[in-house]
Amino acid sequence: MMTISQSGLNFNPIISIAIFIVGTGIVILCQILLLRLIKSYVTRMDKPPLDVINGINILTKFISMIAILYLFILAFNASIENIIIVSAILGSIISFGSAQAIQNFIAGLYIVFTAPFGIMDFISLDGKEGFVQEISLNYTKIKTIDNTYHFIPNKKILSTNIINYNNKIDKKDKNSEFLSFDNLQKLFSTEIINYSFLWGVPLGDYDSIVNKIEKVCVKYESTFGNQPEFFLFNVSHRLQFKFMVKVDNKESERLENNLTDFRDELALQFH
Amino acid sequence: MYFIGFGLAYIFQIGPEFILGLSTVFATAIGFASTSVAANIVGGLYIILTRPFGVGDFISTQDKEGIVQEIGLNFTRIMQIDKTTVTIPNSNLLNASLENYTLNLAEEIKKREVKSQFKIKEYSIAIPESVTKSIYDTFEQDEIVRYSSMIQLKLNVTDPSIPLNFAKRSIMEVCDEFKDVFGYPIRFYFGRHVFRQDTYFVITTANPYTIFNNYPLFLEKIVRKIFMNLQETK
Repeated sequence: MMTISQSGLNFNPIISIAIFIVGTGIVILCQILLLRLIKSYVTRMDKPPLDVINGINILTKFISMIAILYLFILAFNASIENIIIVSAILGSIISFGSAQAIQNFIAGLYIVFTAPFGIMDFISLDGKEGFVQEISLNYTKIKTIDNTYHFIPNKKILSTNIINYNNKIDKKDKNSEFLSFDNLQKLFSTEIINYSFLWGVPLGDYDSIVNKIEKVCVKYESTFGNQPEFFLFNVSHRLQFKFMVKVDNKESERLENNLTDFRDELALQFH
Repeated sequence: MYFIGFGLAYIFQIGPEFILGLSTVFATAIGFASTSVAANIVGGLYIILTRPFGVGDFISTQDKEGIVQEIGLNFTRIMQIDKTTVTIPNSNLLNASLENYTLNLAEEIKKREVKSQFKIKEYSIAIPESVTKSIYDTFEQDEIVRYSSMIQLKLNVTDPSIPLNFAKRSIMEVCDEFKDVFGYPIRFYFGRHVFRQDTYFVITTANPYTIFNNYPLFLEKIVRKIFMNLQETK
């Protein structure tokens, strides 16, 4: 290696450029040939994994990039100082570029440690409601009621308001009276999901509205294991009711499977 | 981690300059990346020190209303009227506008006294007139909650539409009825009328949970009174 770089001293600029261009051509040619070889081998398999081909693509490009860089240093006989300058610039570019990725990574660690929510909690995040499936290093994966998976970058979670519908009921604090947790303790194990949503009803006879809603709530008592509660939350061109559906955390599938039916039934009462 | 680093440095004869350079690059990346985490922690300290609100206060921020349960180093938790808990990152609280419905009674009375002393015209309705120092002394309570809310009344739901005067009388009756429940008189005023009549309420009470428990009932009464014509059984 040393001999080549020392002999590089004797090249005049035109020869240096020529060596660099020819060398770059050879490297690119090698890359294409290598890629073809690997691809022909991979495609011979029954099911060529797409991820592997993609990975190889990126890897070969990366290797050839480094090779071209090395060639540049050899051809123009760059001194140590120049190499340091180039690597410092490259280093800062890489570190700035990867800030986003590292941000997500750190946010992931942060979420795991501070635990605003845990796995299988029912949460509302950034307008999406669902069960937390996984808190990975980059994304938090939640499954919504209609069984779609949403991937939310961890970075975003740090600046979003989170509603966690899971409540631990063995907590003995001053709010237990308000939450009437003492009564719930007999009904539920240790953790409940207290899911709430807003529902608008057209203006009309208040008593019959309440009767209709109550009818649905009573009907769904056995489905959820607890009668859904509701109260008048706001008045605009409609009467806006808040519904609170309580489900034992161990039986979260009750909420998952029946919530849409419950809402449909409510809608059918008024439209 | 360190041992592996030093081992590698020894094997490949890497000088300390190289390690220093490498660690600088990594430190910069990690430093930039953890700004959002740092913002939350600084936000937490800031809230604890400047005290824009305390635990047990009734606050409203970013469309979320509730009673503060916990101010942590990273998150602040508030409980909403539907008994759900919202976790708000402290950095959000630093950037968002915030309403604190809980007032320090002693401070407000002092403000009022200062105003009357210097004959400054009272422009704030922070505490109801009925609250005087003597009441404050007898109840020995130092904080009140002054909750403001808005509803919209669709008065043209019937034909002919409900007169505003009737709505006003109905609301006054309900407010009188709930005076004892909340412990203080309820103020209300009408806002602009665009399709619906905006109606604002100012409810004063000693305990925020009183509002949580009784506000739905209060609304229910108002709806029943004003939209009486919609009732099927009169």
